[in-house]
Amino acid sequence: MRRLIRLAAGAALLCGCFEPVSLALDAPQGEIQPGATREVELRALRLDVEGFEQTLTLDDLKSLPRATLEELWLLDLEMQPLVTNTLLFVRDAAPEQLGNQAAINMQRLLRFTPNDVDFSQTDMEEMLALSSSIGAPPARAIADLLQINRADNVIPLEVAAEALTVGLIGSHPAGQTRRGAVTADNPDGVYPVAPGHIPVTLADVVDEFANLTEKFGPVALPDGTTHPGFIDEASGFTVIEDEFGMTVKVNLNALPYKGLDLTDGSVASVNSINTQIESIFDTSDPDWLQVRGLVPEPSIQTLVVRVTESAERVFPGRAQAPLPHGDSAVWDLPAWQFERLVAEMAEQVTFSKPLPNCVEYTVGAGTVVFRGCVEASGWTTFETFNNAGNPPDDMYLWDLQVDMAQVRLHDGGLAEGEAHVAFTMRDLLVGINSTQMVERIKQNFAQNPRALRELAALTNETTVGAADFFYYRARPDGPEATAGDWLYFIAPSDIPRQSDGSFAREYSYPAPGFFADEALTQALHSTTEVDGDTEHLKVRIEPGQTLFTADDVGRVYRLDVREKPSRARIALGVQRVR
Amino acid sequence: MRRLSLTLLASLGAAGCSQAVDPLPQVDLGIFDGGGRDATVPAGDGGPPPPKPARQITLRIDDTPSAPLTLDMNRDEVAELLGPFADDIVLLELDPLPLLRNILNEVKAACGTDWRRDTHDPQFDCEQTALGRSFDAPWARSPEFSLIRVLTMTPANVIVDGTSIDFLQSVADVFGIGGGFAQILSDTLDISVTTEIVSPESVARSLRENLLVTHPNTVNGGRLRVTLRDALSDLATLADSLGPMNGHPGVIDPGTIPHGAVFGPDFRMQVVADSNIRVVEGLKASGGLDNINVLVDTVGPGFNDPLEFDFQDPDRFTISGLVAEPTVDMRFAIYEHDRFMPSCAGDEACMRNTPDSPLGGGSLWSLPPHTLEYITAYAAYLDYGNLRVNNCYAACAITEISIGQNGDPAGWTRFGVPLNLGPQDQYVWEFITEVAQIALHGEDNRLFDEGDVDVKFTLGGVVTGITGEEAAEAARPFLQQQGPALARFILGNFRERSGAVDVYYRRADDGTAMLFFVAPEDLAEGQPYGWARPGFYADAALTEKLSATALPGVADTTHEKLAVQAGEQTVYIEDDAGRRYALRIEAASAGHPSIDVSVTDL
Repeated sequence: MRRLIRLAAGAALLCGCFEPVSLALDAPQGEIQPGATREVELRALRLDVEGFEQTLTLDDLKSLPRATLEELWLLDLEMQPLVTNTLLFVRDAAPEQLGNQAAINMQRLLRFTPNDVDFSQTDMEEMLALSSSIGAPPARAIADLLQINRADNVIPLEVAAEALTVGLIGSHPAGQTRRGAVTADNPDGVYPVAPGHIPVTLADVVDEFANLTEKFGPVALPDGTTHPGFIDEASGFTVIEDEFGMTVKVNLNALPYKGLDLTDGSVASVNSINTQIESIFDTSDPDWLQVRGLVPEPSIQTLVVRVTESAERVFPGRAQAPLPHGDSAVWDLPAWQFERLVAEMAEQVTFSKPLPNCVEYTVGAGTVVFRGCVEASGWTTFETFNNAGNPPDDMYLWDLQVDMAQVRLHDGGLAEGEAHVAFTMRDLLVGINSTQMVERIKQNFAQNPRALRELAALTNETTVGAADFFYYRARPDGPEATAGDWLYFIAPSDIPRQSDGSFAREYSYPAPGFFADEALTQALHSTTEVDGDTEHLKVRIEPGQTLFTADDVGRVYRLDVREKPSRARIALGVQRVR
Repeated sequence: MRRLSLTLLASLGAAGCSQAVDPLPQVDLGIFDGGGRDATVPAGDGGPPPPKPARQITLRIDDTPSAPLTLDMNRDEVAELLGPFADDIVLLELDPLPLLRNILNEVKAACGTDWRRDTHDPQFDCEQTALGRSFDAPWARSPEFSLIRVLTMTPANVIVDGTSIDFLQSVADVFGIGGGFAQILSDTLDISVTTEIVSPESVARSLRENLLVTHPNTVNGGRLRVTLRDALSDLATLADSLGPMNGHPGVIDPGTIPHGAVFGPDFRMQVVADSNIRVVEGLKASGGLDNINVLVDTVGPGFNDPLEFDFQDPDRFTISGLVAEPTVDMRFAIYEHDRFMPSCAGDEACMRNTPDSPLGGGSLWSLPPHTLEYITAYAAYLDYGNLRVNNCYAACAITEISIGQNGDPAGWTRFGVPLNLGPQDQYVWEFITEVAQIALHGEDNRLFDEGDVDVKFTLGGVVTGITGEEAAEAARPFLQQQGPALARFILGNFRERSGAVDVYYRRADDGTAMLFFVAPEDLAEGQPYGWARPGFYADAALTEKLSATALPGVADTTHEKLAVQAGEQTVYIEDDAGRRYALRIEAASAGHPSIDVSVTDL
């Protein structure tokens, strides 16, 4: 009510005098009994405002129903920059900043270059030790095989970031779909999230991402397994400043439509947003939505990301088939597990280089003492003269790297299954600045009428009661063909939300619309476009006309259109016929 | 180490609704190599270029012992690894005597063995054996058969018609003195009537000392050098090594290929060798971390070996799977001189005609030693060089044969036949050689003209005289001697796999961790040494050298070296392009296996 009064006052300043409007409910009159008749009068209220700026405070936004906030999608936040920042932090952090052996081992993997080659306890150990004995530095052998410089990271940071983004985040349900508006096109209200992104909603912003841990924490999957989540702790998000405000510029008829609750014949109010959603926001106006009070560089004070590892060591596959990965069990692991992530990284690295690639070292007069060949498929063969150094069995190149990574991950005495990598990041940039965030908000609102409707509804909450239909008088400047008085049957989108996000009432009309017969078989309604609305079932009425309609429990009423009391009013006789 | 810098390029200006929509955040990945921990992105907005950031390089010493090189090779792998050097790898030096004895035994049996009986007619039949059948038909007119007749001459079967002792035979047989000529000859030579006049042992020794010793490819008294190449080729390469060479007609008939398996199907050569190569970390001041291969040979006897073998140690070297009793198929050739060589006889001067002092150009001993005549004469010389006997027949009235008597040299034979109708005085081997020459050619050269009796025996399965097991053991000292060469064969090019560094970090032989400045010996063969001012200096002008080539307790005297101290130390160096650098060295302790070096361009 407070907001409405403010709106009315503002509108008065813009448009001058207007007839007083009351949104108070009629006094309860009891259910219309079968055969009983009531006379009602409905009035078409109109208060057109142009360029009205409505500023919503953080508290205003927070007062929205939770579900509405969560469904008010702002953007899919690209996570790779954040993950890249995370890994950059891990890679360059001092050991004391990492805190635990697992994170230190993760750092070691990120820093791992051929110069740091350490294949101890892997299949390569013996062969590479022998490599030194003949004066072929293992670092060079590995670098040549991987086709990188010996100072290059075996797994480049960007590759690690991409694999983590896709594997860890992309496999989490919250990284795949998000809740959104329920529409005819999307009746379940589930929308896909761009791969490698996490959806950011108005709820996240107003909460300053307080629910990130829950959102991306453990979750049951449809197949009965559980995704362990990947954010253990998230705190200290700096996104919104004290003076936060979201200002929208609106053009609308600010007043609700008057309708009738057939059950008791009482007059109710129906928010008028639905019928004018197309024109409320002029998104071509660069100032149609403004946000202030976003910090220039949103940041996170503390973020603890966790990667779990398999309980058992995964050994390289020994067969090329089935293509393209062979028989290694690593590909059967969940996408979020460490071993699988490394496999994805290593596979990407493998195919980023020209293949096939062979590396040979010779001694004497050309005797090949080592020959490693990476075929176009990534299958890698190792041969040494006389099997010196016990060369490893043939395997895919990524399996080799996974094997190495697993061993290195358990350095420092960690047992298999204990090397869950949990690393704490501090003072990280989210990866998107305020300007970009505002533009994303504007772009996505502009492209999503449903989101606009939610926003518009926020600016103008006027639904009162439980109208089954309402009276609409076509705009005077509209086409002649649609001029006059219309009855609109209530649509699902007219039913307001409650604070918990649920709808105020169920839309359960067995026979929505208007009919010529009591049996409700001869429809008079259509979705004819009137002033842009094509959603509602509607019928144009004239005095003396008789219609039949039914309420949400199937009670049938006869409506007799009386003579109009005035230009913007209609009078109806309402008789319950069964 | 690379540094990845993430920069959000989008504007960070105040939020304003009228601004154009910014593009998505862009991630700028800048990569800086060189082991850097630098965090500065070089500016690129004109003006003088910023100083190149210091490059942080960690040099580590790996004290892990090098893994021994363990090989367990089959024949193909031996050929693959050592094949290119197989000609130079001597497995053993084979004493040829057993082989020669076996050859002679086979040759002498080629046409039957009745010659061993006391009969004048040995009933030769060369059709009895494969070797005999290989003679040119008819075998009775083949050079090979002629030689067989010489080798199988006994007093009982010798034919001396047309020789200088022909008269003696006539007298003995006509007058029946002394039991006949066979007995006289037996008595004269002090052998039985069925013993070869030229003993097989002497023929074998003569062949060794005259045919083999004179061949350029035999060693140590005619020993046959068996190389890895010979073994790998199943002795086929003997055709080359024992063929005609430098005027020697060869031992193997040219154009024929010997064959004899040495390596059996289960042949293995197992070798364990310690590597003296150390892959150490160094730095190129203008670049970054790299490795260099250096030699650390403290074993001896040589101190420049990439690998240390011990072929004498059965735990570190074994050969197995050699053929138990190696044999050889070969075509053996001996060539005769192209004219008849008469005995030096009837002249006291002939007493001085010995192998060591041939009497004139017509002497037997002036012939090339590898000729059949010389070999035969020498064999007889070996048999009878010490012979001194005196035999009288019919109370010395008819015949007295004295050898080495009355001051004559041993072997000098005087035939006491009335009226001097007998042979002229001469050495035993002279008349034996004459008999042999006549035997080869037939009386009056009715069988062959002089120079045509070049004998060539196609021998199969001749036992070499050494077992596989003996050969495996015999190879040890030869391989041990060649160990350094083998090491160079196999890994001599190890420096070619070195990276380009200016300095490297390793322990000196006293265990002290030091920075070594690269020296010429560190470079691959033929690589020019381009450092004009090697060493570590205290000043950028390089006037005060901190390093030295000779340090107390350190054997190396060729490298500029600097012991690494605990804490920080800054030194200056000049690279091979004349650029100078400051190296700030940080070590947790003196001799710490890991040091951080910060390299700054000057």
